[in-house]
Amino acid sequence: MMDVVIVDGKARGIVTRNLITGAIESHSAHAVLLCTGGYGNVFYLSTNAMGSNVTAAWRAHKKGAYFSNPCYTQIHPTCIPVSGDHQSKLTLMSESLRNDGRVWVPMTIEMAEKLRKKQIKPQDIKDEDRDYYLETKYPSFGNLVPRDVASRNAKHVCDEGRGVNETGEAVYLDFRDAIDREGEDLVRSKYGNLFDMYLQITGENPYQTPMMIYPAVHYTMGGLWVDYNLMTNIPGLYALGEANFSDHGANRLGASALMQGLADGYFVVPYTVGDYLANLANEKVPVDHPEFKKSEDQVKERIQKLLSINGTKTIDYYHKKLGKIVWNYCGMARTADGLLKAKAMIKELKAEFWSNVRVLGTGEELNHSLEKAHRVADFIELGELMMDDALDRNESCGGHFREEYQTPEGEALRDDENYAYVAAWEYMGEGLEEVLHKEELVYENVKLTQRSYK
Amino acid sequence: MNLTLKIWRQKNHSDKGGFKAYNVTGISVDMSFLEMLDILNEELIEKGEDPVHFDHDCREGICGSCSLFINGRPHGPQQTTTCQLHMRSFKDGDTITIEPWRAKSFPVVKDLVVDRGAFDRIIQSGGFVSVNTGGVPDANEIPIPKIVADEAFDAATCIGCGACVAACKNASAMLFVSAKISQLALLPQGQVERRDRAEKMIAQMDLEGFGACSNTGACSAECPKEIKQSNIARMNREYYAASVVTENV
Repeated sequence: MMDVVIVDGKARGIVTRNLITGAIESHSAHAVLLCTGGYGNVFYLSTNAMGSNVTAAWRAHKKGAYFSNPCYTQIHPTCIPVSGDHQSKLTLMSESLRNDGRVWVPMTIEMAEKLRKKQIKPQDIKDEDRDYYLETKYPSFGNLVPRDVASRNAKHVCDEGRGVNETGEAVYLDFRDAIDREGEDLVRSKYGNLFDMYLQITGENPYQTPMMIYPAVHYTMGGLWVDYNLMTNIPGLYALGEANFSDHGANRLGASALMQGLADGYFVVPYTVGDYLANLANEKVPVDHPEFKKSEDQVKERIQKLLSINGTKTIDYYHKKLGKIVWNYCGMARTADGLLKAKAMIKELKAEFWSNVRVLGTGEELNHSLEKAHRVADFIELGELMMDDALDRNESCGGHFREEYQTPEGEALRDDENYAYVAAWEYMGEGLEEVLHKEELVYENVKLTQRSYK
Repeated sequence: MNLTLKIWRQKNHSDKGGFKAYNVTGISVDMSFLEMLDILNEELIEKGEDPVHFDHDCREGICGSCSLFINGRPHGPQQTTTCQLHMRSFKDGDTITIEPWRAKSFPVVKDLVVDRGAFDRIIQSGGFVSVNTGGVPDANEIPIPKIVADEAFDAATCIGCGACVAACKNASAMLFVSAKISQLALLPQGQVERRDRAEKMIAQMDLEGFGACSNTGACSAECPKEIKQSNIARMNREYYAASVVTENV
């Protein structure tokens, strides 16, 4: 999808590009449902499939659909660590492993350095020299603390210098005790396929040596704003699943993305879209309506522009640069200074992209570079909005951790009096600041409290 | 390590195409095969040359997109998907030949990308259960022996990559079609339309121009999901049964 088409204030279709012939086509409809996934790949490295992108949601946003809470991004604690600059994506190790694995790093930096240089093996480190930090810090939840808590703690111990791989960005997830307790066969029946995958990717055997894991971008709670019928603020335009912002607040729990996809698509929208259609006069909008033509022209113009820049840097170059900025300044821990700095860096990156990107080939053939260029251009703009959103929210909440707002124990400190709202951003035009609309969150039956996993 | 890559380049479907040799240097053993191709492509783009097009998406072995025929084997020397092949399977100085899936029913689109729409059309012809389910019943209300559920699950793990077709000397799609038919034929919910499903999907498979099965077994030997040949035997039984018992009134 290259664009959403709005006719008389209602979403009445989309414009697409045929990936093989390059043909730009209009498709009219009575309603448009975007089930187009999340924007985790704004970080370049994530657990998402490499094709996942924000384009459909972003084009809808530029046509007037509010984008909510973009800074609420989830970092999953158990992913295979980065093995080098060539890394193209991060592989998720299922959260179910945390049922039986024990997370630890060595107690001392010296021991971590020895591990990194491969002077000692993890199996040789005695229990009293191991820091099972989640079990110590959170006695009642232990290794099962929510994802944002587990991820931030992993980052902390690695920032202290106790990371266990060459890059210093890895902690152990150890199955030694589970194997001792239940036997290798039972562990294999539970996690066999995951252990095989780990062995395939890293060359190491988790039955014999602890797994190495590190947090990685996995899911985005933010997305297009929708009401309880899953309709955006544009009549007839719906957003379902990870593409919307609705179900998970600032921190999604495990397995619930799948739940949301099923709930949205199976239980909610079949009824709500029916209600919308029932109230819509059954007139068809022809695809040669001027609004479709206008969208088609804009799409063609954008394609031509990207193909004609013929600069010196590849699309991946810009994508990786963007990813590093967003990860470093809007990742697990954020500061006002960092976010302002990052916003300026992204503005600069955007200007550079549009004047120096190299997209080879033509528009009338299969052209992966052209497809990627569109996605990266949209990611760059989303990156700017993420910084604005994170800057506006002067509190820590779920996946959004502002270092200036934390409890003495280093946990997220919310400001419910001032920030109990959904941030819904409205696009105002090229180069203009977006406008914030607040959807106040009013709790009638639930009392807001501080999360504690002790 | 440094490697020589002989890669099939083809501008589009009507172009004759041919092999082109490239050198890549400084490849780490921890890199995946596709990450190695990414590096080649960055170099090509910097030189102003069209990058090598290949399908990929999840890079985790679950989506079925990646489809490279490496040194004469679909997905290369390991029994995994292309994206899960890592460079530690190769040695410094190796020459690696990379081609698209070769099958009449999978026309080449560009370079290493083939059109696997045939698989989609086979699924569209009957690979589903078309009942209105209304509210969701408790799954445990429908009893099923675990051994049958496990067999259905194993068949369902087919990711539709097409390696079976590429491996087969007849370019037969029987392993894929039989996995999809089995997955539903084994389950209580799949009893509805069971005969019709087999007939329609097999008819579409033949229409697409896939070859016949001559029991070579290369398909399941190469299948990254280890789909068993016994699914083909089951499909043959479904096909025979459909010829004597019909759902048509």
